[in-house]
Amino acid sequence: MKSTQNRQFLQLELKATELRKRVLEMIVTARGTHIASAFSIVDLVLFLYKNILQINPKNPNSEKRDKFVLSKGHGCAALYVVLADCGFFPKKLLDTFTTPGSILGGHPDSSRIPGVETSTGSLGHGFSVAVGFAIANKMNKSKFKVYCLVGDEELNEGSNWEAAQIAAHHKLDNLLLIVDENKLMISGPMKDILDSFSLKEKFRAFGWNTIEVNGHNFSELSEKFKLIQMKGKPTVIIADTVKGKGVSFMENKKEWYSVLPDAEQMKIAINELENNIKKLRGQLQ
Amino acid sequence: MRDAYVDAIYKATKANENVLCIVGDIGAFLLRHYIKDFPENYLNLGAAEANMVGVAAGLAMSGKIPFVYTITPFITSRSYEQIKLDVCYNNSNVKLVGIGSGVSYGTMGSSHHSLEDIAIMRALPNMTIFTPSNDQEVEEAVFAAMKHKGPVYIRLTLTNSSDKPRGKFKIGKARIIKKGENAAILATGDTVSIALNAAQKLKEKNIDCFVINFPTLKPIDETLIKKLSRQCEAIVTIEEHSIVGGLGSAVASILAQYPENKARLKILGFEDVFCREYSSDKLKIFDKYGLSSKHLIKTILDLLKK
Repeated sequence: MKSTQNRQFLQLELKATELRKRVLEMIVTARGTHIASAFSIVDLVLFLYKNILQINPKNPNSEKRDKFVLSKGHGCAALYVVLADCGFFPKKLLDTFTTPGSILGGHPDSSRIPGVETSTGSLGHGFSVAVGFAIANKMNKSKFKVYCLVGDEELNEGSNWEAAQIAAHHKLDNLLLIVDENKLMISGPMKDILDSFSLKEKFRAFGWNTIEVNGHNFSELSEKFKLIQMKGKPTVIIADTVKGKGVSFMENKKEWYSVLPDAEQMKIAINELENNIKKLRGQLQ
Repeated sequence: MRDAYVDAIYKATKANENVLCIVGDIGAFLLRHYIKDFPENYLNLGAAEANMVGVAAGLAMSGKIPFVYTITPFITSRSYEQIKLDVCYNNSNVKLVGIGSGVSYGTMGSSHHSLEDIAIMRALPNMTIFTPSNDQEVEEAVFAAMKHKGPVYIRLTLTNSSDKPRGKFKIGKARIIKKGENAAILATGDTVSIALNAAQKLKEKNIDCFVINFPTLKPIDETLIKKLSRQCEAIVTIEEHSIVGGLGSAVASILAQYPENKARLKILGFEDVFCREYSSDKLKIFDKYGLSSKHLIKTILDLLKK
């Protein structure tokens, strides 16, 4: 049993590494940005879509579905590769990322992308919309849940704390917020620029269940998600993450928020990802 | 219009169970019957308007028809980015209802005034704007908003008026209050009665003025505006709003691009200033800023003389 489970986590790790490679290629080809922000959440988004969300990619608007909101819309490359991998749209569309005529822009547009519940991009919007989804589910007596992923810098925006207060007041135990706590802002470390102090204590003071987890460890994610008791209050999972995770020279470096690798750096990054893919495939054999 | 709105939202909820009455911590007393009879449809989301609009978008995208009600500047300018993205970009079925628009809260100063709300709402794709001028139009606007799929902004004042407009309320159609000959006054909301008053006095001077009420500002009744511009020498717009971006700007944009226009236009409104007068009598404030029937008459006469 344990080995089956370990195998599944290894498969997720392999998939996440392959998807990071795809994200890197997409963003570099498009001359886009936000590589590090996407790398930070690849594991979380993949884990949610493969292990948690009750969704049907063939019927993305089914009333019987969980909803996922990527509030930090700038990390959308991570969402797009996962949605394509799940079959929400053909994988070849990823090649059109941010090109004229594409449905896949630099921030997600719900009117055009199957599986995207609300358009995001400006920080501090998705959480409130997710609260609306959760209240509607309560009104409709739907058992389906709402998941929302926000960045730790995004929590600078005051609207999130309005949403947090309402969610607790309305006892939205069908709402799960995940914070991508990578501790890095555009200009540098959060503790130097605008310290978020203890998110756990803040959410507790707002009346939320809080759980802390390593946001890159599938085994721990699986364990912690099993422990969640969604009863009487909303839950926040504070995920300890690394901005730029997966390519050593990009990890925890503020520059990779917006900078693109040059040809040499790209080669090094792809090599590292491919070596890891090879290693993981070997372990799975 | 406050009581008219409370009656209208009650009737709308009775007609359609998906209608929700969301408030930013106002109106609890006036809405007491609603709260008692439709507790499941009522949400008070507190003094947190940005979140309130985002939540409403989430509810709308789940099949509800949320009417979100609070004092106009807080539902419009304070929540503007949520309106732009969560409501309009998503084209979600949210109805924003601003109470006490313009300078209705005449003693409270600019924090509670809204003289730019029409301008900023007009600039958003997918948005429909209703500006009722009396209690009947409030109900008509609420029902039209309920039936219309997409974002709507309803701009209410605090004036009660039992005037009964004739004809069917139709989105994008203006109402001809009085027919005329070579001049027209185009008004909306609380300036409609000023327009009518001025037209009656002008009649005594043998000037027969059209008086047109615009309960919908977006889409605006372009056909009627063009028709008037072919027939009239003078068109004056009058609104409880900045002269930037409101009814007058919408009319000017149409006339400037219409080769058959033969009318001269004058826009009356707040001349790109904050209202710094205090009075519980709105007409006194209107007088100070040139929104009186007296000033309107002079404006028409000047235009016709030229």
